Formats: sequence, structure tokens, C-alpha cells
Amino acid sequence: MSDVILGIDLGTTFSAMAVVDQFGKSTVLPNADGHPTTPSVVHFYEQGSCVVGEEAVKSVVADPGNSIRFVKRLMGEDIKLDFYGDEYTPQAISALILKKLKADAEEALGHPIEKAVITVPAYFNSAQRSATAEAGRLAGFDVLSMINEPTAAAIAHGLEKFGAERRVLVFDLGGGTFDVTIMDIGGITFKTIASDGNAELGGKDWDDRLVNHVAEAFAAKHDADPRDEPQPYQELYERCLAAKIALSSKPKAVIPVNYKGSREAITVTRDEFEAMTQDLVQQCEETANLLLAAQDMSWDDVDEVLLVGGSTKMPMIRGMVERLASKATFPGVSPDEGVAVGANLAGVLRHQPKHPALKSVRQALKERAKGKAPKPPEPPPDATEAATVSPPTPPGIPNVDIQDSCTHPLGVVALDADLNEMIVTLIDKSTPVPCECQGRFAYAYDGMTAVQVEVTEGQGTNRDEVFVVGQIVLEDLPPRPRGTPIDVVYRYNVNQILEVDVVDVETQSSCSARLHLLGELLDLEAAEDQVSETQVR
Amino acid sequence: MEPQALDDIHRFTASVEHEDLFSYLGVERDTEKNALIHALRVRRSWAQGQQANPKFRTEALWLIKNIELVKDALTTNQRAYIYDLEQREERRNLETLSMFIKGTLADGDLTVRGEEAIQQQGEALGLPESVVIRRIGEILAERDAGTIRSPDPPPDAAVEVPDTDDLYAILGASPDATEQELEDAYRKRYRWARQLRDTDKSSRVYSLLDEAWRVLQDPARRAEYDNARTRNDARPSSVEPNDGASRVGFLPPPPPTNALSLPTPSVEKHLASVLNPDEPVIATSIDSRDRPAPPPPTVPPLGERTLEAAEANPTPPESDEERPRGPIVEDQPIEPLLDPLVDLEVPARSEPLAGLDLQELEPKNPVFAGFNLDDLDMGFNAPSDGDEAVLSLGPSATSTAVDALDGLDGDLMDKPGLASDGLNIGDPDDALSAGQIYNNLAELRVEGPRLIRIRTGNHPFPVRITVANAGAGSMPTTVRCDAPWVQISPPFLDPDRQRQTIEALVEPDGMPGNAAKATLTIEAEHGETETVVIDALKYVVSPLTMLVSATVTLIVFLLIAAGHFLGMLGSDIGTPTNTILAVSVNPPAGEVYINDELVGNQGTLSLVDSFPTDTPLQVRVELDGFEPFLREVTLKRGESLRIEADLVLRDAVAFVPEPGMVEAELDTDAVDAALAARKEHFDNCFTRNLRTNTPFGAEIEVTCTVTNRGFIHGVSFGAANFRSPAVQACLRRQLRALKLPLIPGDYARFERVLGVDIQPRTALNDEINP
Repeated sequence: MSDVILGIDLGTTFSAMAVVDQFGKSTVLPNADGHPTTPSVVHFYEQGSCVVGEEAVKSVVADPGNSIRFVKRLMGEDIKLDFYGDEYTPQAISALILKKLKADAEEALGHPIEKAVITVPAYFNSAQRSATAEAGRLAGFDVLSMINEPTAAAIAHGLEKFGAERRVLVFDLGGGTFDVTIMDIGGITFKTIASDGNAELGGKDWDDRLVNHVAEAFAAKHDADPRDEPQPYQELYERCLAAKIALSSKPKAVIPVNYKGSREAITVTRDEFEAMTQDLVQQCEETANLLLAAQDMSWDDVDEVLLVGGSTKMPMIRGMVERLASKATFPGVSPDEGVAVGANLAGVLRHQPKHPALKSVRQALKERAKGKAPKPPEPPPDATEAATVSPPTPPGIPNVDIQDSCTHPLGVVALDADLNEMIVTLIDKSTPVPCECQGRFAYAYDGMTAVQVEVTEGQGTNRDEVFVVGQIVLEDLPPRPRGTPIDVVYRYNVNQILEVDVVDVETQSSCSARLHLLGELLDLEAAEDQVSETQVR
Repeated sequence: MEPQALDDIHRFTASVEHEDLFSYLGVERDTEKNALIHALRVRRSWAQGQQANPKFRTEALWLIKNIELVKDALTTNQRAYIYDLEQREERRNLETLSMFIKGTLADGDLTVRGEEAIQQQGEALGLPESVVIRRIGEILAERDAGTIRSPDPPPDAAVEVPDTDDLYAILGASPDATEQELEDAYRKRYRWARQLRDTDKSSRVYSLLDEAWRVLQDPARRAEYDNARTRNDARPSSVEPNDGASRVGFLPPPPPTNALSLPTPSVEKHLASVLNPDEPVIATSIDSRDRPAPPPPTVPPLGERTLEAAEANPTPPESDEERPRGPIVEDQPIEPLLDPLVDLEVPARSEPLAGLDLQELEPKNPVFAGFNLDDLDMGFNAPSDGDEAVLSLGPSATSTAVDALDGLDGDLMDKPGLASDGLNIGDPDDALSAGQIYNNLAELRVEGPRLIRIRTGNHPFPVRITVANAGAGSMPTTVRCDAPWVQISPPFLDPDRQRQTIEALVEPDGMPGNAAKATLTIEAEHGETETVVIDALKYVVSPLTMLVSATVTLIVFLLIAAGHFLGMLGSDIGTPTNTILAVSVNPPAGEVYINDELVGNQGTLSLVDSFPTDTPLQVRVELDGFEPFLREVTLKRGESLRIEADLVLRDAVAFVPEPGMVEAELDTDAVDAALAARKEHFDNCFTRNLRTNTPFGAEIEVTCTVTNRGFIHGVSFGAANFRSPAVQACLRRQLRALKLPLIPGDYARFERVLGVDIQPRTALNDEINP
């Protein structure tokens, strides 16, 4: 068993992985084809056999019904996809992508790999995170932790440009998700101040605009819509994708469409493309503005802007951010690879602090401790959790401090005076993690001895507006009359574990339970078998 | 299946513009299970390929997510799904129909033509006729409640149809206008009239415009009219009244508070013994329940009704408990009930109740104030033809009184018509001296009763009066009415027609009280004048009336109680001796006539003691487009009878080839194609109307006559292995909707056997339709 930790950026359109190389530097590991990124596309060519990556992309056009793209957008949904009679969950499909990455990495490194850190968009909710974790497990990884993509990007950047404390805005526009995150980084402290985004906004939406535009232009002339059939659509999509990339560097692109015997080359200029996607850019801008406003900040407070995700290569996005953050610097990070490297580094920092790759980091820290006021070693925020997964930190070397914040409020289902259900938010959005919040409630009925805490995620006041991510029944409470005050305490840490305490205020007797918001990951055997039995190449 | 799940599926199919999952998958409803699953798998694969396609993303994702639900609806729970689809379709069709009805009503009142259009629409939507008629009634009720508004008046409301007899002026065109100009003018006026808020006015304008247009559009008649016009003919109008343009007021079933008491089961049992059991139309509820078991399974039970038909039959209101109500009616003072026109006074048998002055209680409405609403009844007019004297019987008319009247009636009938006697008709000199150019041999004759008593709700009630020219020559005639709540159409009669019908539309909203009289004056230019009195009773409970009737009931009850206690009153006062005739009409808009007197159009009607007993009565129910229903009954005093009048749709355009007409050969392929195109409708006729316990193939022979234009007119039925008038009526409608190609001869015939397999009712259906 090797100790190598694979950092995996499981993206909507592309996935990438990074390991610490023989020079002690975290770098992206190319796949078997030699490309740094692998398309997140799966094609089943027969029952129980699939290809992933470039080869699959080429097959999608020929066999769209047995291919799957953008599975990340389906994560967390209760759906199944059918390939030759076998039903696969989105987790299983993602697991097949991870399995391909794992196989390629093992081939390149020459030994088995088991440990991995997988990134998720900051705006993913518990169900989506849980599905991603499950995918990692199904692929045979020991998922050490899950890390938010902006945080990973910031780590990759921050450890490279080790230095003073500064405020960074991570603008992450990927293939299918959008996150904007404000972080304070300095040394090895990465503190997420606030994060917002949209799990349904990404480069795919720009592609769709182009596809719609071209298809409608074609349909207007030839009375046939290439979107109507899966194969012409996939072909059109490929061409539009290429055109979108071309438009980032060229003023115009030509998209040839050949459908139902009619041929038409449709020219799209960059101006046209920008006009038809202006509202999407606007949406990104609004999200970022609102996030800053919610933290009483302005763009002037931002020292650095990290542009992450392939879609930030579009001039309109870059131009928009540069216009807004006129005073900030734009360090050159690789939009495609930074997240995987950050994931790898985060895994190493957290779980293998004595790794040789961190030699330079330790060196820098020492210099800093000499030159400036010694920075008191902060106690590990999640001491209990850290103890289980990482060896105790040797004294003198400070632990890396990755501080996330909640992206979705956590609450509890309570009853009001008329015994109607209501949602009480205990941990607000943007609360730094780990955190402890409590709310005071009362016994709803005389002599009750058990209380059911239904943990909710999301903004809302009634059950329909939020997700119930888990429920804990706490028993053995002392029987008390109705109205007796009771405290519910939420302790939430970076590993998505929520501890719930219920405290009888007058007697201070309490009971507690833990809830892993990523789910208990039970009953996975069948799915594990399915993924392990599916041939991937 | 969960209603929520069905809703989801329905929302999905609607969003992808499909009727149901079957059409979405491109399969038939009766496709076998494996083929269905295959079609679903193909679509699922498509969805997986298109789930990222912006055009189909929502659709594809929904299908992927809900694949199990869809599979369930198509296979395991297919019956429940199809049942749900049918329910939705009917609701949607009803909604469409409602929009159509509202659109029709926005133009003004409901005309016969409008109603035909509605019926056609309903037929096209596959809705049963009874449902359509009920919906019309409901919407009329809604409109009366003020929920449907007419569109705003047009900006050029200044355009006014002049009050003139000049047809050109009516259309707003010059006499030398071309045909196109005339048509444009007509259409402009017509559009304007459509938008009038005042429906009375617009309907008046319509009739004027229609009449003017009918004359002027025909070159021959226009030339004739122009000639008459240039000769400065003094004829007021040469318009031809439209016989068919009468309006039908549909009424929703009366609310239960107004419901008249119906025979109690004990009475019905008695009835069953009295009635001839072979009369299928007179059915009591006991009768149908007590019938022997249905015939052998291959033949559907005859007595069974379809669901729709069962719904359409208004449930008879619960019978009131037997209260000693009879004496209230018996003891009504007869005086106020007598019509001023009545020459003959019917002696009242009972003494009026002492100390009860009804007139004082409700001076405005002396006639009906004292009635308990449950006992309200109609005055009865003896049949009269051309008589000025109209005999009106109060509720307490006894058999002796009726005998006396009958005798008198006979005497009157033997004499020459009073009207003819009293007028100088047939004298040409008189007419010529009046400066008229028409032949004055005309003789005005009003057919039917001169006193028409109607009861109505809030809806307009059409009264038709037939005016005939018993003589020769032309007879320009005007019709006037002294009451503003009666609209006359047409106000001028065609001088050249021998017989025509005036429609007097009673608008109860305009009535000064709950009861009012209107006098129609029919005035022929040669000097004859006839009057017809409409005595209308609004069928609305006013608080005062309720108070009065409650008071009367209480007083009478006390009197009866006192009478029993003291033993002072006669024995007949405490026992109910009411004679009740109930007529239940389906569809509920039919007009009920008893011995030619219009007594109501409310659907279900109960008459208490307001008709002659022990003599034959003719009950006639009429509704436009339906075969009239006729029944002769004789009721003994104290008996009760319920008549179920199920009207049968008239095959209005039966085609009978005349001698000399050439029968053509039909293109059988075209017939088969046309029949196949509507096969679903034909099948529905069977499946919706037939129920069976064992599967059987229903078959019926049909013979259709095709006109040279390709329309099917005559439809007759031959041998069938079931009996169901409902199927025949439905098939007739559906067949008449066929359109075949033009044929070379004058007419053609074809015979076909239509049929479908009828499946037995299932536990599922029984569960859903208890």
C-alpha cells in the first residue's frame, strides 16, 4: 500500500488528477493518452463495458443513447441511467470516470493508489457531496477528505506564492458549475470567508446558447432542427464547443451544419456570441457582487483574483472580472489544473504533514517565524477528527489551517406555538467551519422523553423549501412538563460531520449524537460490485 | 396510482404537447406490454442521449428521473392511468366547451343556431348531449350571477341601426349599393351588434339585420323589394320572419329549496300497480329496482344507463314527509286565482279560511302570496282554439267543476269562432277604402291558448305563439306587448305567410314582482286584433313570501290541530288528498305542455291538484331538435304519477328519395376510409353506453342515405345483437358527422355493420365508479 495521495478534480466536462512528483512538487498527472485532463464522458460499447475520456467523446456522436456527458449535473439526484439493461446511478457513472483516472495513475506510477482527495464545487449541497464521496468509494478509493474547488485552487496558488496575508476572490466558472468564494490566505492559513454560486451555471450554458443559435439559424433556412435527433445534436455540440474555444482567440468562427441533406456554414462572430450570452455573464457578476455586499466588502477590498475553471478563459468573463476588480492582481494560475494540484496539496498538508513535498513550505514557515513575530501554533480546529486520520503534529511545525465556511444554512425542524412545523436556522450561511451554534427550544409535549432532531439544509421556512439531510433521535431525556427549555447545539466541522447535542437547560443533563452529512454510505456492496465489474478502458 | 404521480405524468405529457404517454411513445393504447416496454426503452435511450441538449433537457431529465413511474403507468397500472386520462379529457373538453358557450353567449342570448353550434362542438369533443345541455344551463346561471361580462362596446358606438322599415337603412347602405357593398355594410353592422353590451338591443338588431340581409342578398327578392319600394309601397316591411330564430332558455335544475315534493315511495308503489308495466317511459324508481334480473349475459341489460345518462338525470329531490298540506291548497280563496279574462266562475267548494286575509299580507302579489312554495302550482287552462274565453281553474277545482267546464267547452267549440263572428272580415270594400292594396280576404287566427301561464326562474323563458292567416291574401301584422319584460320577435309578421310563430321572450329580471301579466296585442292591418295574455310567475322565493307562507302554514297547522282536538272540522281536511303529477324531463330543458298549455321548462316539474282529474290528460314535452314526447294519462283524484320524459334526438333531416331521383354508386373505399377515420367515435358509442358481464361483440346494421353533396342524411338501423337507444342516438350523430365525396347521382345508400368488442366491467372500474 502506497501513501500516495491522488488529488482529483472531478469536473463536469473535464477531470484532472495530481500527485507529488519525484521532485517533490505537486503536478498534474497526464492520463494514458498523455493529456493533462480527461473528458468526463463515458460510453458503453457493450453491456458492462465502457470507455472513458477522449475515446468516449468520439463515440458520443455515433451512439448518444449509450453515452453520458455532464454526469456531474445529475449528482445527488435520485435517477438511474440504463445501458444495455443495466441501471447505473450518477454516482456509479462518476465512479467509472474515477476508476479510469485511478487506472491511468496506477499505470503511470507503477503501483496501486488508494488514497484520494476529491474536490466538489463550494456550492454543492450535502446530497451532491455525499454522491461524490460515494463515487470515490465505489471507484475503490479511500477518500481522505473532500475539499471545495475554490479552496483547492487557493491552496495551489497560496503555497506556490507563499507570503503575506491577503484577500483572494476565487472566481471558479467550470464546465457546469459556478462558484465565487472570498478567502483570506496567508502562509498556510486558508480561511474561507464566504462562498456563493450556482451548481447549474457553467460553460455548458455558453455552449447551449451557441447550439441554440446555430440550430435556429439552420432551422430558419432549411426547416429542420438538428437538435431534434440525438446524433446530429451531438455532432453540432462538438462543433459548437470547438467554435466557442476558437472564439476566445479569434474574432469569428464558422460552424458547418450538415443535416437532412442540407448544408449550411453558420458564422458566429465574437460580438454575436457575447451578445447572446450577456445575461449569463451578468448572472456571474451579480452573484459576485451580492456575495461581496453580503460581507460588507467591495471589489476594492480584493487583493487577488484567482480565475479558475476552463470557462474563465473566455475573454468576456476575464474582461468582466478585470473591469470589476480593477485594483486586484491576477496571478497566473492554470484554470484547468490548479484545482487538482490544490486537492493533492490539501491532502498532503492535512494527512501527511511530514511529506517531503512540504519541505519548502516548512522552510518558508521557519524563515517567517525567525523574521517576524512567531505565529502561535493554532490548535487543530477539528482535533477529534484529525486524531483519527492524521498522526499528531510534531511540535514546532504548525499544522495547515484550512478553514471552510458553510455554503448552505443548517437548521432544525421545530414546532411553533400551534404545533405547526417551522424551520429554525441554527448555522447561518457563510459561518466559518468549524462552528458551534445553539438554539433554545422547549418541550412540545408533557413528559416527552425523546426528541427527534431533523437536520435541514438550505434557506427556507418550511419543509418543502429545504432538504432534510438527516435525522437523529435522542432518547433518554428526563420527562418534563411542556414548555421546559431545551437547547439544541450544532457542532459542524470541516469533514461535514455534525454533532448534535440536546441539553435540558435546567438540569444540564444532555444527550448527543453525530451525523455525517455525507451519508452513512451503507449498502454499497451491490454498487461496488457493479462498478468493479464494469470494464473501463 | 397516486393522484400526485398522475398529475406529474399529465403535466409532463402536456409540456411535450402530447395527449398521453401512449402518443408520446408513438404507440397505441392497446399495444401489448412487451412492445410498450420496448418503446419506453427506446425513448429512454433517446433521453439519455438528449439529456444535455438544451432543447430537450427538461423533457429528457424528467423521463430519466421518472422512468419507473412511467413504466408503472404503462404496464402495472395501465387501467388506472387510462381511466385518469379519460377523466381529464372529459374535464378538458368540458372546459373547452364552456369557453365555447361563453363565447357564444358573449354575442347575446342563446339562439337556436348558437345552441346547435354548441351541440356540434360538444359532439366534436365527444361529450354526451345531456352534459352539454347541463353545462349551458350552468353557464347561463353564472352569467345571470354576473360572472361573464360582455366585451366592451365598440368605440364607434355612435353607429345606430335606424328604427325604420327601410331595409337599406337598416343595413346602412344606399339603395344602389353593389352586392359587395351590401355585404360589407351588413358585416359591419353585424360586428357592431356583436359588441353591444345591451343584449336585448343586440338581439333586436340581429333580427333586423338578418331579415334585411335575407331579402337583399337574393337578387330576385331584392328586385321585388326595390320595385315595391320605388312604387312607394306603404307596406311597412317585407321582411320574412325567421321561424327558427326563436330562443331557448335553458334553466339549471331548480335548487332543492324550491323543489316540489315528489311522490313518496309508498305512493310510487301504488303507481306501479296503476301503470301499465309495458310503458317503458313511465318508470318509477321502485319499478326499475324491482325489475327481474337482467337478460342473459350476451345481451347487455336494457335498463342500464350509461354513466353520463345517469348523471344527466337530475336526482329527484327527497320526498318531503307527508304533512297535512293538502288543506292549505284546498282552502285557498279561489277569487284571486281567477284570471280577469275568465268569463266563467268556478264555484269554490271549500270555505276560505276565516281570519286570513292574504291580500293584506302581500298586496303586491295577491295570487301567490299564500302559497307554500312546495305547493305552488299552475292554473289550468282548458284547451281552447280561437276562443276569447279562457277557462282557468284554481287549485281547488273539483271533478264536478271540470265536468262542467268540459261540457261548456264542448258547447263553445260547436259554435263558430267568436272572433270571426265579431269582425268584418272578408269584405273587400272595407279594406280598399282603407287604402290598402293587399287582398283583404285575410283572417287573423291565433292558435293555442290566449292565456299562457308560465313559471320560470331567473332565466328568459320563450313563449311561442302561432299566428295564422285563416283567410287568403296578405296580412301585414304587428305584434306589440304592453310589458317591457317581454321581448317580441319578430315584431312584424310576414304578410304573405299563412302561418308563423312569434316568440315572446319573458325576461323575469324585468318583471315588476314575482307575478305579473303581459298582454300581447296582435294587430292585423285590416283591423282584426287578438290578444294573448302571459301570466308569469317568477320562481324565486322572496323573504316576504317565505314569511307569509310560513305564517299560513303555521296558522293552518294550528287550525287543523284545533280542529282535530275539538272534532269540529270535517274528516277530509286532515287527510292528504293531493293529486300529484310529476314530470321529469331529460334533457332538463324541455318544455312541458299539459293539454297544450305550457307549464314549465325546469327539468323536473310537479303539479299538485292543478289539472283535471279522472279525464285523459295529454302531456307533451318539446325541445328543439328532439322528438316530441307525448303521453296520455288519466289520474284519479288522490293519485300520484311520475312521468320520465327522456327526449330522443330527432333525426332532423331524414332523407326520403323522391320519384325520379337517381341513385348513384358509392365509392366504397371512400366510405370505408371515412368510417375508419371516425372509428374511435363509433367505438365510444358502444363502449360508453353498453355494459356487460361477459365479453361480447356488439354489432348493429346501419343504413345511411347520402345526399349528392356527400352528407349523410337518413340513418336507419337494422338488426343488432343488443338493444340500446343511446347507442343508436350516438351512432346517428356520429354518422351524420361524416362527409363523403360528391356523388354523381342524386343520392346513394350504403349499409354497414358497426360494432366493437365490449369488455365486462372490471373490479377496477367498479372501484372507481361506485
